[in-house]
Amino acid sequence: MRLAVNPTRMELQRLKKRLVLAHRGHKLLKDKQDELMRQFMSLVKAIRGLRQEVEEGLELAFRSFTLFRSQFAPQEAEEALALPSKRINLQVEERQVMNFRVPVFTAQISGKMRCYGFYNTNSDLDRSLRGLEKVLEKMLRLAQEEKTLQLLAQEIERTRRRVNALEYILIPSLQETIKYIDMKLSEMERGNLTRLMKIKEMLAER
Amino acid sequence: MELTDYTISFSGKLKYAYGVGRVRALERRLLTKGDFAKLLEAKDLQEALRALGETDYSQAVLGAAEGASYEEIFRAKEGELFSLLEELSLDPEVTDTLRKRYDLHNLKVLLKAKFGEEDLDYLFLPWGTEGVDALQRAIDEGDYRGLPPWVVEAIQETISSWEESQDPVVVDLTLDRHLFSHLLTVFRAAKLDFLSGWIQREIDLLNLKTFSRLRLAGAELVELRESLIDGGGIEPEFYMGIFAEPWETLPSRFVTTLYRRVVEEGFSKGEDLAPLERACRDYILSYLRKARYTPFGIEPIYAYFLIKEEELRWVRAVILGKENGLDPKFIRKRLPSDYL
Repeated sequence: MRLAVNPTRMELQRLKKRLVLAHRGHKLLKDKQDELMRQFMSLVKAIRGLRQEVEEGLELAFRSFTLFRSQFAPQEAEEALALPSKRINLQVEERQVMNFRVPVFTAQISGKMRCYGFYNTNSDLDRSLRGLEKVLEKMLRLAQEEKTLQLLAQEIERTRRRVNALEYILIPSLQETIKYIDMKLSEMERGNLTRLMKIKEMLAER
Repeated sequence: MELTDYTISFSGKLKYAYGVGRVRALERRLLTKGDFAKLLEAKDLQEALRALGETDYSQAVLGAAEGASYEEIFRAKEGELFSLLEELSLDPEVTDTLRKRYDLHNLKVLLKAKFGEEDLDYLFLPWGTEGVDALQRAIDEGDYRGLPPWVVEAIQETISSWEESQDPVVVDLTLDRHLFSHLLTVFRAAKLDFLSGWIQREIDLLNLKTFSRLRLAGAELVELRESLIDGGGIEPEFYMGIFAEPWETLPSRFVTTLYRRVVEEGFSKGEDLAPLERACRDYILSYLRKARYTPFGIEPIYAYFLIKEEELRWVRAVILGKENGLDPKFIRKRLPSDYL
């Protein structure tokens, strides 16, 4: 699509400069996109294993909890866990990756996981909480990595849109406009030349 | 102290002739292995409920069809059971002990709500002997009027333990200890050997499970001592002496106790404690079944109540398992042998 500009030499110069800049920007963004993709793929690979571990751990913990929960009245089950002694202090900081910030979770875990007596509870509850305790740190790491992955994906999407906009819209329209101005200027040049030749011919006839 | 089998005495127990007769009739309606097999093999919740509808729980299932939640059904069934107990009981001071664990539950709820500064009123259970308001007054204002001494002592000791340790485990352990001690005192005072024997066995098996759970959790010896309950047939020192021994040698340590078979079956799967918990339930159920040989007395009524409560617990487990899509093999592994 041609840009709506006046076909002047000045405009032509300006557009040529913009085209050079657009090419350079396109190359840089393309490089950035490739690097983001590389990081994205390696993170996906790392997360896949971690997510599987967390899901397996949680499945085991939830199954044990369902078993515990099914053997007691809901009030008894909830009472057992009504006064938890485990405390998690989660600090969220940020780290710069390329031009965007990814979260860094730092957890300070204190206290015991078991906060109940042995009467009216059973080993299913123990197993469930042990399972949760085991996956807790992995869950925090997974949350951090998955948030990074999500931000990375958004950044890739944004960069790809910019690359595409440069590659398929801005650069072609600049090229088309430059070509148009070029042709227009050439035509004006030819018109001028013809006019001058005609004037010269008329003067010669007089 | 070694436990011996209880002796049956008929004197002064003829007043329970009607109650025992009634319980004998009701025992025939307890769920059988076949009923549990049908429940477990049901493809889904609806099929399980249909199977349950063909048993003593038909009214409850009818309630479910009318939109009641399963918990309401189980609660209604518990209500029926307590009404029956009230009807048949001629010694309320003894049968009230069956409600004490609900007092204990409500006490735990109130104390945890106080310590955690949270509103836990929705966790109260209705079957206790003491009013929640009276318990609340005692905890908040120190007004212990009308409360039995064991509750007063339990509240006072729990509050002071919490102030010292700020540990929620201590809250539960202190209250549990008071409950068991109270039950033992009541049964001994009433000279009910069968029920004293039952509670002693409950204490022993609870200590055995506590011992195993703490071993598995890698706890310290001092934690074990604090968690064991006195009053059983096996002294806490026995468990402390074998706390560090490997799992394989443990069965040999229990050879001379009443729990030889429980330990053999319970520790057969290494560190998985589900078989132990099941073996403990089997042992208690088989002990309670001995009450059938008591022609007259409070024991058969008391035992029927406990057996029915156990049945209700497992019906709940199967139904909730179905509702949550749990593989029946997990429930089957925990179900007492009576139902398998």
